[in-house]
Amino acid sequence: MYNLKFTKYYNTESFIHDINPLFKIISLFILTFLCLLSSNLIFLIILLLFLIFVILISNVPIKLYINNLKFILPMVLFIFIINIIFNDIYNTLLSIIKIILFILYSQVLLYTTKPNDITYALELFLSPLKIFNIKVSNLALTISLALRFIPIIFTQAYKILKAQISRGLNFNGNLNEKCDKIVSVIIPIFNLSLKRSEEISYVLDMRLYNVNKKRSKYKNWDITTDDIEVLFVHILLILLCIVLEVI
Amino acid sequence: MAIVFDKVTYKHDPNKKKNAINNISIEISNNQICGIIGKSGSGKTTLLELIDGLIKPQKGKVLIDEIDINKDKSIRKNIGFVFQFPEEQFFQTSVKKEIEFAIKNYGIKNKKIKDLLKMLGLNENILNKKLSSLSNGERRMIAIASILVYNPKIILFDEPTIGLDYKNKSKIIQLIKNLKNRCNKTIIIVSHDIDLLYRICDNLIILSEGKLILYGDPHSVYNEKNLIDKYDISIPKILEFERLAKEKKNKKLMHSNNINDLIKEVYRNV
Repeated sequence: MYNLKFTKYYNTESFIHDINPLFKIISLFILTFLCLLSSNLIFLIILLLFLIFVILISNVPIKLYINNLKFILPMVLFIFIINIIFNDIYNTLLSIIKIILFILYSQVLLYTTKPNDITYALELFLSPLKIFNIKVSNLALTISLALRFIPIIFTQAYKILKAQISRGLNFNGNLNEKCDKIVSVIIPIFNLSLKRSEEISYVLDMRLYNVNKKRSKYKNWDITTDDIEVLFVHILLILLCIVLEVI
Repeated sequence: MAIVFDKVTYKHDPNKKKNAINNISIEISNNQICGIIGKSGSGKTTLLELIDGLIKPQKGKVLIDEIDINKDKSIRKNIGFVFQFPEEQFFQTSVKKEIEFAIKNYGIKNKKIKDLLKMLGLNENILNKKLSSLSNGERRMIAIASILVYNPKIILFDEPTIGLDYKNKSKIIQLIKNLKNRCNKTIIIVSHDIDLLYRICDNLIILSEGKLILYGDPHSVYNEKNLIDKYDISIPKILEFERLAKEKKNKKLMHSNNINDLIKEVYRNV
């Protein structure tokens, strides 16, 4: 349990790590968009090659990416079977490449960006929604709190489990008994998370957190030439997509 | 029941180099109070978890009465573990259910919950109350009761007196003494309260960064002044007073284990 990693961020130095998270999110958005729109195999293969290049310069061990692909294997199989029944092989191949592209690209984002930076970027990215009177900073806070909450809940669950095991809990018995035992772990965790969230709201109040006021940032990301280059590459990809589709 | 550590090594993260417990061999004999002292992160709680078989050592064996705890988990019936802040680990709603949890698991029929509550100085009515309605001191007592109810022969206390007021603290200390003297239990206590450990323990274990530094009775352990200074282990107030009296006033006081003897000794010298 001590080995569980809750955030994917891989701490190293690379060109990708230094890019403004906002630009990374925009890039992911563009790539997802392209994946969904394009139905050209050549273009998708170009995207795949581009992605492999990105993975190589991200300085994160390739083993980690491959491990993640193993997790989506059942999903890929499912898509394969459904597509084979209702579609031809060409389309099946397209959709599988699209899935892999999307998963890998989001992995690059998660491995090279700290969770806090992602929420910062999301807040900026969604800020146009303010026109519709949606409180984007609230949304960003909710996301970052949720991210922080996962490890707390896990450690607490582990503690309660330890207390039960040391008092003779074992998971033997029939299905009914097993369910009973699992419930006795889950219920206190729900209780606890409710209690914790109440505490967090008190703490936010105590530190004078106010949604309606403008808040300053601990870290401000400047836009550098590297960021512009990355955006430029993605715009090139869009153009390439349009050209290939038209031809 | 005797506890034997045979060259035990344990790592929290197998991929990292740092050992939480580093090649420890100790023998803790029957019917004694043994205290574990060390800084935060020195592996005190890990040592207790190893005894209870909650974690498995990468190297070495933990033997309880010559039986390896990781091979035969049924011996866990003889071990009770009072965790740090046990009141935060309640998982039932009522006091009665919480206390009966272990009895049901181990299938013990002859239950004497009322006698147990009397021994802990609690009222019988408490059984019908909800856990959330109790005070902190009462909750700690209920947590201890839920361990004692299946009558384990070895009891592990992880910081039993932390966060309690003086009255509840002395209640727990008295309880620990009674458990050893009247019920012949083997008790292991992890605490930062060095004065408490010095007063009640038969043996002390001093850990630093997962390594065993010293093991023996309190007097002999604190005689190793070089090691104590080297690993920056805090000293009980009684010993510190003796040391200061010798250094500043050049008066050698007789060694005493409790504060009353020390006061008499000071009067004799003044």
